[in-house]
Amino acid sequence: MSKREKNQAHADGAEPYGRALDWTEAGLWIALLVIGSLVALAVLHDGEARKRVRADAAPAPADLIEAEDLSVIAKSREFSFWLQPATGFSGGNWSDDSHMFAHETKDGDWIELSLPEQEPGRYAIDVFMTKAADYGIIAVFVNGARRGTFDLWSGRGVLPTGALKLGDVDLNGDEDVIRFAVEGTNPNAVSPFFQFGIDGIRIGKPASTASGNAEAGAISQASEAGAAQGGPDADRASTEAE
Amino acid sequence: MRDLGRLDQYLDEINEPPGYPNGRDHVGAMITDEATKRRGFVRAFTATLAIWGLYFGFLWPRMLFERSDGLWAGWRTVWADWSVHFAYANVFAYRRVGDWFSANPIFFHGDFDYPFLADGLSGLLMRAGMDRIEAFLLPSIIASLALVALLFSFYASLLQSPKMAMLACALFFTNGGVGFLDFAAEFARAPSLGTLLLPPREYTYFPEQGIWWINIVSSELLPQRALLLGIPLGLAALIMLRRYVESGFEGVSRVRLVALGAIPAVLVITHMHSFLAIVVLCGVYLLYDRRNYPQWLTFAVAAGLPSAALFVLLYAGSGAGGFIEWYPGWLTNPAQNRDLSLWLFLWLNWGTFLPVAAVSLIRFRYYRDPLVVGGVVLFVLCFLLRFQPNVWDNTKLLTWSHLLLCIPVARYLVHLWSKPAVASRCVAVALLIFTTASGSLELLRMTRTEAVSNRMWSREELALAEEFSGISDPTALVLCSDHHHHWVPSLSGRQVLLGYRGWLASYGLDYGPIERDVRSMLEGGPDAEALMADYGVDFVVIGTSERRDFGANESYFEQHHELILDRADNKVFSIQRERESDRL
Repeated sequence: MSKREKNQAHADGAEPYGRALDWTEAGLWIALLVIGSLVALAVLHDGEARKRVRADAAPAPADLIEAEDLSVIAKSREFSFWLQPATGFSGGNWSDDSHMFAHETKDGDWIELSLPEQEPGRYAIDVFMTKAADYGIIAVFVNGARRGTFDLWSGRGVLPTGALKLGDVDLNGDEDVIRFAVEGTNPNAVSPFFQFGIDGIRIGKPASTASGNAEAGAISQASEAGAAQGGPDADRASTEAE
Repeated sequence: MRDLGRLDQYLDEINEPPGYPNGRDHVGAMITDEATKRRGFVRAFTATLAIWGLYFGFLWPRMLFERSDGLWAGWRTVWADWSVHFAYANVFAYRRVGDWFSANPIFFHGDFDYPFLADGLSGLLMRAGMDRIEAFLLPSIIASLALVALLFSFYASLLQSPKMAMLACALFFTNGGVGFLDFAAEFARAPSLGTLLLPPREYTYFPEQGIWWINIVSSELLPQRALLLGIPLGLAALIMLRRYVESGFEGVSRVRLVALGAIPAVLVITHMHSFLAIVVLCGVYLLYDRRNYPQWLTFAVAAGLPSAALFVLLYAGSGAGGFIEWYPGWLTNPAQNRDLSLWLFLWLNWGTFLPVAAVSLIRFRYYRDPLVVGGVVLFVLCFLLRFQPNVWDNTKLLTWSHLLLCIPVARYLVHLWSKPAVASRCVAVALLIFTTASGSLELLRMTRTEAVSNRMWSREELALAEEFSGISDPTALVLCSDHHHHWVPSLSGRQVLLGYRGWLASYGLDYGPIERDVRSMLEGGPDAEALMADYGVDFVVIGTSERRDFGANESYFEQHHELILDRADNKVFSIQRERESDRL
C-alpha cells in the first residue's frame, strides 16, 4: 500500500488493510446485489402475477346495491363507517373499487342500514363483505331476525367474501333494516380485532329451495368467495370458516 | 480579523512537522489549504444549488397550472393533497382575522388545529392580491431553494467534504427502493427511447408488492406544504446547534440559545412531525453532550415554553385522538394484511441504502455522532409506533431519518470510490445506482407533465366558485358533500359541515354524528329543517357528489328553498335569505 493510500485510509478513519480485503468487501457487496436483485425481481414478478390474477378474477356482480348507497339508520355508538378505496387490495375485485369500512369497532358494536324500497314480498338476499386479518365475526340480521353469522378473518390478506347468503327473507317493501353486529373475533385475528367491511347487498328472486342456508347461531363462511370474485386465495376462503 | 486571530493561534501551536522547513511555511500552507477548502465548498454549494434549483425551478411551475379547460395539478400527489391546502389557505385569504381559527374549514365541529404556517403564508399572499397559483408556487419554490442550501450546508458541516455533501444531497432527493429493477426488466424486454424518457409507472410506489417508501420529492416535498417548510426550519436549528456543541457552547450567550429556541416553537405551527424529529434528535444529542447540560436546559426551556403554549393553543380540545400508539413493524404490522416479512419489506423499500448505512455506521464510528444515531433512533421508532391514524404518515418522520442516514451512506460510497481496487470502484458505482435509480426515474417522470397531470377543477367550477364567493359571506356555512375536490371549501373558501372523510379519519376526528346529520339534511328528511337551523346552514349545494354519495333530494330543496345559482350541474339554494326574511 502506497503512502498516499495509507494516508487515504487513515483519513477515512479506517485501519489500513490489504487489497485482498478490498476485493473481499467488493465481493460481498456484489453477492448482496446479485442475490438481492433476484429476490426483488421474484417479488416484483409475483406482484405482477397477483395483479393479473386480480384482473382475471370475475368482476363484482353488476346488480349489487352499493353499501355506500344505503342510509345509516343507527349505530350502537359512534364509530367510523366510511368509504374506503379497495384499489390497494390485490386479493380480488370489489364493486366500485371500494367498500364501507367499519373502523374503531368493538365487540358488540352494530350498525343498521336501510334497505332500498321494494315491492313487499319474499326475496333472496346476499351480502358481499370483506375479509382481513383484523376483522371480526359478524352477525347479520334482517328486520330483527338473525340470518347468518360470518367469520371475516382472513390469513391471506384482504379478500372479498363473495356472496354470503342470508337465504329467503320477507321484506315489508319499505323501512326494511339490515343490521351488522360484531359478535367476537377469530382466535387468529390481530388487533384491532373487530373491524368489518361491507361491499354491497344483492336482493334477488327467492330461491326455490327452503329458506335461508345461514340460520341463527351457525357460523358460516364465504362459500362463493372463489367463484364469485376470484383472487389467489379464493380457494382457501371457504376453509377459513369455523 | 478572525483569520488574523487564527493565524496567531497557528503560530503559537507550531511544532515543525516533517516536510515543512519552518513554522511560517507551514502556516502559509494551512492558510492555502483553508482557502482551497473554502473555494471547494463554494463551488460545490453553487453546483448543488444550480442543479437542484434548476430542477425545482423547472418542476414547480408544472405542478399547478391553468389551461383553457380548468385548473390542473402536474402530479398525482399534488392533485390529492392540495385541495385541502387551498381550503386552509382560503381561511387566511378571505375570512376576517378574528375568524381565522374559529373552525376547521373542512370540519365544522372541529377547531382549526392544522399546522397552518405554510398555507397561512399563501393565504396572506392571496389576500394581498396575488393569484392563487402564484401564491402557492412562489413559497414552494423559495422553500425548495432554502432546503437545498441548508441541506448542503448541513451535510458539508457533518461530512467535512463538499463532494460528499453533494452526493448526500443527491441521495436525499433520489430515495426509493428496488422498483427500478422492474423498469430494467421491462426495458430489457422492449427497449425504446420512449420508455427511457417517460418511465411507464412510478417505481418507488408499488403497493401491490409492498413498496411504500415513495420518493421524497414525489410524496413529501411536492404535496406536503407543511413538511417542505418544516424541514428547512429544522435544518437551520440543527446546523446552529451543531456549531454551538462543537464549540463547547463557548461564547454562546443565553440570548442566542433563547433565540434558537424560537425555531422549534415555530415548527409547532409549521410541521408537527419535524418538531417531533427535532425533539428526538435533541434528546439524543443531550445524551452525548451531558457535560453541557446547563446550556441544553436553557435551550430546552426556551424552546419548550413557547412550543407548549402554541401546542395548547392550537391542538388542545381539537377532538383528534389516537395519534401515537404501539404499532410494531409499521406497514408490515399484521393489521396491514400485507403478508410481507419485515426483512423483505426493508429490502424492497430501501434496497442497499440500509446495509450501506449500517456498514458505514460501524466502519466510520458514526455511532459516536449523535445526529446519525438520532437518525437510527427515528427509523426504529417509525417501526415501533404509529404517529398518526394513517400509519403511512410515519414517512414524515422517516424523511428525517433518511436525511440523517444519507451521511454515513455518502461517506461509505466515497470511501469505496477512493480505493485503488477497480472492484471497489465498480461496487461504489453499482451501489450508487442501486440506491438512486428508482428515485431518479421518479424525478424524471414528474417532469413529464403532459403525461402525468390531472385536472383539479373545470373552468365551470372555477367560475361557479367565484360567483358564489361574490354572493356569500366568507363565514357562510354551506351544506354539501365531502367530495375530495369540492369547490366550496377549496375554491370559494366557505365553511363546510363535513370535508373529505379520508382526511378527517387521518386526523383522528370523529365525524360520525355530523356525517349522519349531513345525510339527513341532504335527503330532505323530516328533521332536515331543524338540523339546518341548529347548525346555522346558510347555503345548500346539490351536485353530482351530493346526489351520488348522500342521496340528496333535489326536488325537496327546489320546493322549499330559493335556487340562487344553477351552473355546471350544481344547484345552490339559499337558506340564509329565508332565515333573514323570517327574522324580519
